[in-house]
Amino acid sequence: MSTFQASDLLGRAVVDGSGRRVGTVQDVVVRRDGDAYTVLGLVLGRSALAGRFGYGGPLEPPTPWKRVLGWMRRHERYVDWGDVERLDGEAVVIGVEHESLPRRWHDHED
Amino acid sequence: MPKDPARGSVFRIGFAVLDRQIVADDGEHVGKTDDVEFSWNEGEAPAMTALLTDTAALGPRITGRLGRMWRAVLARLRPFDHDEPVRIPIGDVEAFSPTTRLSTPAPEGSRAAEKWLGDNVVGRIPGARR
Repeated sequence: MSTFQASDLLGRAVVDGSGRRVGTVQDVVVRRDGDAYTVLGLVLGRSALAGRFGYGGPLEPPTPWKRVLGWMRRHERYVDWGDVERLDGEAVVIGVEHESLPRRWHDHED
Repeated sequence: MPKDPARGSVFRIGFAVLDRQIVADDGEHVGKTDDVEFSWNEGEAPAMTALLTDTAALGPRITGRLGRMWRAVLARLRPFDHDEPVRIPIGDVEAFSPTTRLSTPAPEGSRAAEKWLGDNVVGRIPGARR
């Protein structure tokens, strides 16, 4: 069993199946089942700033902010952990094309 | 987050875990979550296994030259009894919202960096003891 830290992932470049750089790792999505916390996937994007406001999951921003934050997060995508192919290089390599990635990570909640 | 955090709740660690205040079972503030440890077997999804706190864990989160400088300063000064971050097993966490609450007392060595800085840096600023 190997270990790694969130700081090893956050901010790392991500490359898709065609070799194109598609952003950086902005966050890690986990699921809690009792005492077990399993990684479901990664949130990719270009900037972490919009995510620091706390909206984007079940909590929707108020209307004046919705458009602004939506624009700031327009590059955000979610990649399922099963589509992550490699972590050991400089960049995280995913096995799918950027265009096929969903935008909403919280669609994976129960 | 969904209303029942123990069953199948899905969340982003950047929202719910990182940089959140950690509180022990007796209400003592332990520090903030500076990093998260994951354990991984090939072919399986990684599992979140521990929270890392105290200043030594913060260095890797600060990218670039500033983060390297921070780690180099800590390594040279070695002001604390330990220069490794304090590790809190994930099983000791009761809940992540609104603060990270532990079901155990504060781990030994928590806030060591903060106490050292308070005694040796902030405490020496004129007027600090008032």
